[in-house]
Amino acid sequence: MSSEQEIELALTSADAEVRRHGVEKLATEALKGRAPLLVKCMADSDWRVRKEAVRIAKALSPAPDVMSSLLATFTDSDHVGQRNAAVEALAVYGESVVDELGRRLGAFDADAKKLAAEVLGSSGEARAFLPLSQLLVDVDPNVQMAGIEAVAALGAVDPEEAFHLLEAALRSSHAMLRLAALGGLNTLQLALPVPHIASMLSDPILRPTALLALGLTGDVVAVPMLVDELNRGPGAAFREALIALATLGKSGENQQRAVEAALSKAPRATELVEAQAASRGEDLVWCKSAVFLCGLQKTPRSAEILVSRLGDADMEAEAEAALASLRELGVLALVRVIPEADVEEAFGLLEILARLPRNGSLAEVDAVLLRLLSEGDSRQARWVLTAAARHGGEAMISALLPWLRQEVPPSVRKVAVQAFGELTSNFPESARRAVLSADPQSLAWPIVVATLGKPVHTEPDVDIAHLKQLLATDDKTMRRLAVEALAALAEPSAVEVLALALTDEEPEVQVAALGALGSLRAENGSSPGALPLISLIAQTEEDRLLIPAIRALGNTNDSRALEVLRSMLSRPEPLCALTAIEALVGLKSPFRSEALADALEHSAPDVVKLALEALVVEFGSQAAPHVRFCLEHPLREVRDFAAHLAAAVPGMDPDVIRQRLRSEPDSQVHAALLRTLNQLEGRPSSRAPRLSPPPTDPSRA
Amino acid sequence: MTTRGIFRDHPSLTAAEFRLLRDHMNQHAGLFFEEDSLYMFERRLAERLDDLGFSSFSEYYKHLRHHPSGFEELEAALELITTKETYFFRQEYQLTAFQREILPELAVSLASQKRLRVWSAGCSTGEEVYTLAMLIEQTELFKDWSVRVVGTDLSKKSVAHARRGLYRESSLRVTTPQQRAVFFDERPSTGVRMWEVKERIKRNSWFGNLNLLDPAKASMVGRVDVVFCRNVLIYFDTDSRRRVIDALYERLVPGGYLLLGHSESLLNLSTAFELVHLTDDLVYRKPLAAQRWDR
Repeated sequence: MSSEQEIELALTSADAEVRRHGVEKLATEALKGRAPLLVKCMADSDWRVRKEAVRIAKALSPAPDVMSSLLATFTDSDHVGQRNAAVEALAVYGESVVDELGRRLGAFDADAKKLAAEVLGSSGEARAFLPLSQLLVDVDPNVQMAGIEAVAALGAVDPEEAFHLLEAALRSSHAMLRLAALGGLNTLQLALPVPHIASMLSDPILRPTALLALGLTGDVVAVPMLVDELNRGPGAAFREALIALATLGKSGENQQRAVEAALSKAPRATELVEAQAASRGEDLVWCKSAVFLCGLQKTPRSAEILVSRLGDADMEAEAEAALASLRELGVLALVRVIPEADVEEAFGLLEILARLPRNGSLAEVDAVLLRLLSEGDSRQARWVLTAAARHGGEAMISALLPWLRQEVPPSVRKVAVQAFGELTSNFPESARRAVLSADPQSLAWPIVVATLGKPVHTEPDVDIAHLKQLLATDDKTMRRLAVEALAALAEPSAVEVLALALTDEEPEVQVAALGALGSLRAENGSSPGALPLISLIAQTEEDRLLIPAIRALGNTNDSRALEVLRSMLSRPEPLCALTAIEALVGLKSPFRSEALADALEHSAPDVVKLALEALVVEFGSQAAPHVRFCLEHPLREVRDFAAHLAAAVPGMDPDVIRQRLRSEPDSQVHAALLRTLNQLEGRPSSRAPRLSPPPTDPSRA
Repeated sequence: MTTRGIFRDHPSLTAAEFRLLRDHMNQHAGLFFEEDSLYMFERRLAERLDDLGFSSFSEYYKHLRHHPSGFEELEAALELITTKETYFFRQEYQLTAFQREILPELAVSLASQKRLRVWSAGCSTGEEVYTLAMLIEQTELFKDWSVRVVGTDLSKKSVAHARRGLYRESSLRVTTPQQRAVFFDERPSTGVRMWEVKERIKRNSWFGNLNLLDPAKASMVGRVDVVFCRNVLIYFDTDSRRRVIDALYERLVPGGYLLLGHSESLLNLSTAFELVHLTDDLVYRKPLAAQRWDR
């Protein structure tokens, strides 16, 4: 039995699984007449067979015989499932099916045209707009409707074209067609001018959709119209007005302020928005919009509602964002519920509190946080300290000191360090006084110095001697912070202890010491930390230290750094060379361009690209020869990058690009060169005429 | 998997496995172990096999060589192998020489800069470093000086232990009651007597983690006046010993002293040092005329 006979036999089997296997074989066997068989299977009684047939038909795209058979169902079949399957499969046939439908549309009846519209709408091809525009002027309004929906579905491919077609459809005499067109514009988030939309508000069919359209305009003129609608109370268009007002409020700062101002003068609308925000309806878009608007209503009731919605998984993010908009009101509303919450809930609320923006010192917040902190539970303390970092007032400073001790669990202490640093930034003088009266072995000392960048004592030598001494303690956090404090003071006499800290057994201390060495400055401006850094870079095999050392050396601006960094450019590890390039950019040496040019010879494309970018940014027109060099680079991605970058080089000679265009083998690079050439010659790139056809990519051939 | 003895429930280390492990450690850290270290390897590394769930040393060796975390594990293994037991005021005769002859000389020669630097290379858990700081204090020759005794060790765990400065009774086995009273505070602990080095001694004692064969890290110790490198060279092969000695030489200022363990010498290792006969000991010194490349 031939394989053709076997398949035909399988397709007539009573067993659906045998038939499905038969369909599967159609993809591999080049059978004469396979296409009609495949399409026939789309009308099979078993869903697995139909699904398999669609899968195979898609996989065979753009086979002309299959496409032809699929299209034949539009005119020859009255099996709804089969035609839907054909539509689904044809959607992946791209340009071929679009062109074919364009040719056949005239011969189709209304039903076939609707199916064609569906295929065109889901084709993802910009050229589908042309046949669709024919459907929009069809004599049959049902076909027009299908065309409008297809244009809306295809709109993302070319929003400008979609807008043009849908706007034209708004002039239809059929209200439903206008509604579909307006709905399509809304779906694509394409805004009409407010007066145009306003003219549709009197039409009860269009009104809800028109209100949604007002929200997309971003025009503050629409705000009173929407608030008026809210004031009318729950009705047919209340939901749409509320969603639109929220959409408008989210579109920009001015718009937000306008919505806020309008709501402040509309107590009834405010109440209704609050009621909606508090409701547990299933319409999430509606509820989220109401929650957002609550954030613009500066009322305690709104704040309470938002806090109550924090426990709702669907609404949590919106409620938090809205609380943040309420600023002080939001913070206070949240803080008031924390003491009554159960343990886990309180942790969650404290976490949210820590994310809300700071609004100065609030005594009520301090009181709650201090009370929770005094309970001594380290798990709770972690969250309280996180919140204190953001909102804490002066009163929190001394309360934090015990949490900086070495015996505090590391995760809690880490947060305490951060919180103390934040409080130091906000209340520098109080923090300084707290340090002077605290245990000298407290972390507070290095934190304050590192944060403020100046000594705690009026005599700086006291601080420096003390900080150096702290480097010898057995507390690694203390050692790291002492290093950071010495770095903040840029104290040159610290070079010896900082170099020694490079042998610290804790990586965090080593890395901090590297950074600190880069920041030391003597009175004459020289960098005493450069020598140990150079010594380490020259000899170490540890990448973990090498990379931060290179970075630190770049910060020294020492004259010896140039050659050391240059030598790093020849190391094969891209990360090493990339860091060296970044460090070289920071140096003030006039010779760094030569060093950066060395990196153009590196084998890693990322290194070459970064070096080239640095040359262009730092040296402008002088980088033109380097760009030219990279345009000839053997690696495609380097040439592509250089082609893009060439447009940013002042005075770049267009002839260089033109010359390169003639020999560039890669189509992508060719396109980039063309864009750059157009930019250099002052032509808008999207409308520019093509100078020459792109050459065929040899790799694709 | 085999067991040796009725109380042992861990794999035994074959001679071939021992050589593989030993050579790998030698390659990484220059440390050399004689064949008689096999049982010490087996005993000390058994806990790592248990922790990692290996049933043989061959599997452990493959892990060290090829697993992404093999490097970290090798460091852990080296810590277990090389951690040596030590105690305060060990090798008294040498310490006496240091205190009575070397320190007074340095007090004179360094008087203009008032800066003394001592390096204990291979300091283990810190007893030697604190001992040296105590001896320096006892002389009363260096008041108001910048004094720093730097201890370094290959083992991070040992360095962390050293920084704490907290010791059991066994570390104070030759420490006199008078020394205990002057240099230590007894810390209450459950069932065990613990002694903490006094804060003023800790202040002059610094610790770091480094491989003596890593010149980049060694250079971070800075220039020193005295190096104690006692019972460290015994772990290295000849070539690595030379490199270690070169690194120590490099760190010493001209005229600086090198003190080795009682069974160690520079014979066949370096001729750069001069031998100095002290009353109680023989020590090495970097010649005053020595030129350093970076001076």
